[in-house]
Amino acid sequence: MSTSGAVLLQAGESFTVTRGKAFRRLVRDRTAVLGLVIIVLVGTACLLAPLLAHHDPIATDFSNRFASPSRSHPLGTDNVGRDVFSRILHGGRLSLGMAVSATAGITIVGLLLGLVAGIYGRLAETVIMRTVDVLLAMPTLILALVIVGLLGQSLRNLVITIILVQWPRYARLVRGMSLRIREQEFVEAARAVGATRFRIMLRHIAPNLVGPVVVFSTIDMGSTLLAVSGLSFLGFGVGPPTPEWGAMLAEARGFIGKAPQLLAFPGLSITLMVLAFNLAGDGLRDLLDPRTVESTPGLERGRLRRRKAPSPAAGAGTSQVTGNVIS
Amino acid sequence: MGRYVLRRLLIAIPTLLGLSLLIFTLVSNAPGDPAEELARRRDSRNEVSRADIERVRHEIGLDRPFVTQYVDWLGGAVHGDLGTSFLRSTSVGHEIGKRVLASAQLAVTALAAILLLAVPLGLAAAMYHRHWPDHVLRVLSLVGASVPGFFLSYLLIILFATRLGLLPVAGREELASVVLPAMALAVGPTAVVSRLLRSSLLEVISEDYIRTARSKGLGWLGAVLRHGLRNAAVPVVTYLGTVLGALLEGVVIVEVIFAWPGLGQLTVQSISGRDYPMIQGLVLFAGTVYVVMNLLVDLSYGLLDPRIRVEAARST
Repeated sequence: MSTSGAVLLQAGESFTVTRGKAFRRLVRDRTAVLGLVIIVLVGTACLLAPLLAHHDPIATDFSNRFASPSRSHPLGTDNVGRDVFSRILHGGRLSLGMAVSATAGITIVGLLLGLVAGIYGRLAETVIMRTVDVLLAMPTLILALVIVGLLGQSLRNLVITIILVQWPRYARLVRGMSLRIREQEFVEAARAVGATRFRIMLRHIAPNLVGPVVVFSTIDMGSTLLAVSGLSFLGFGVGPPTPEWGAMLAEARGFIGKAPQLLAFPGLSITLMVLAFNLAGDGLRDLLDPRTVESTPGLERGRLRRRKAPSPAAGAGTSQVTGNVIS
Repeated sequence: MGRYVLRRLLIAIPTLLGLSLLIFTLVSNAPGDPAEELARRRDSRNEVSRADIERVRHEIGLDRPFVTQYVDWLGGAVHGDLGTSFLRSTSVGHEIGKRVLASAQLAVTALAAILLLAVPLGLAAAMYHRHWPDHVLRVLSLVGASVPGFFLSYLLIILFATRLGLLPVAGREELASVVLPAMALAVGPTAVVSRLLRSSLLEVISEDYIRTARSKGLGWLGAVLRHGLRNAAVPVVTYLGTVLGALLEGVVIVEVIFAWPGLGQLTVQSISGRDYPMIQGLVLFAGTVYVVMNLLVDLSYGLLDPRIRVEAARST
């Protein structure tokens, strides 16, 4: 969908314009703040896992299997007597850590290749954009499954795979934006004083792109976490006994009748975090959407009072952005 | 119109070629030796000599140069011959053909459920804008869009199969077996589509032609159904491409969980078993289906909104 970049482009531009007011508007958006609070709280708890959880996440205790929640084990114990609370916190470090590092990787790779394609053009552009076409010709999760399956099971391979299948969307976005920025006067001015193409790319164009791209990758965090834990659930992430939310859920399915709570805790953790990322991401997206710039903050979102008929480009763009919620 | 379709199909060819080359390269360079694995699999005593391995390697043609292998495979693929599975001694094309119906049944049921649920939900949310049904649906759709399919699947199994005993847990023996996996697939897209339809409807409601329809005496629902829904559908249909992609992906995990004998299950089994011809065939098949589906979605905009049809014709 080549048209899908259009709205994102406008969005990117409006971002640079309204950045000053952006934070205040975000803070007034209560659901977005709720999302941010959940992210900060859970993220901190996972980072501080060794301090908060007193039990070793992989220490087994066969005399205390399937224990109910108690003072010593706030979420009970699992099928081999490991403390579930500790496993959830330590698991979150891996799950969220993978999602964050994959997102960072996607952003960097997409930004670099998109810039090179947009600025240098010619052969570089052809090679990069045709690769993008090829990688986008497959549903990303299936491609990820095949790649990680061939690379072999490991945390690192899982993150690399997610980066490999997700960067094309960002590269396409960045290329489109840099093509637009390239035509602006300050770039022309830089060229006039004799700046090299590399310098223009790095000093004049890239800084204008980093903001919007980082925001879009934040919006994508929820779906990245879903992808990471989904592949991990299928057995392509960590091996036992390492705790990780997707893997914990996969392990718990053997005890679905006896101890459904073992399934519920990692499942709820993933759901809660994806929800939080989506809430925060929705807030960020509203900041970027030029159509909501005029609307009163604090009012409910989605009530867009556009008088103009939707153009196909705008329609495609909206769907592309919204698509990140689940795809 | 015809020229546009032809152009899109022609553009798809190099893309699919690139995809096949990518996957062929990946498979050829994957760690592990398929010839050795195949030799071991054939020999139950598990004592394979180097000569055995080399014989198998020659037999499946892995001792030829990479380019020859690729061109041979591609030539076969064009004629519908995707090679022979390592694991099942059937042809790849035959196995895909055998399972495609099961996956299609699941995906189509899920898509039908999405549309049947999302349209009334979106309508209700727009009709009761800022009243309690709207708020309830907002919360439900937020949660629905966030819950991972594999977690949702087990929640459905626990509730409907284990506790209530209403529906079969897994397999594809009865007609009712499709209900739980299709629900697991449908919830996420339903959540997003209903929200999209809601905001799209809210935009359309303020249009002049709706006011005209209302002033002619049509009720709110009548005006929206007769005049609003079709206009509001454009952004929703645009999103259907993403939904179909999500269904293709979701099918993989859901089929594994519900032991549904479709292509998703086959994909995971082939990857775990390092069944390289099968993996290559499945990727090429999935890519082709995806490209064609996206083309169909793009064509459907024109059916809904003639303005787009004109623009598409102008741009080609």
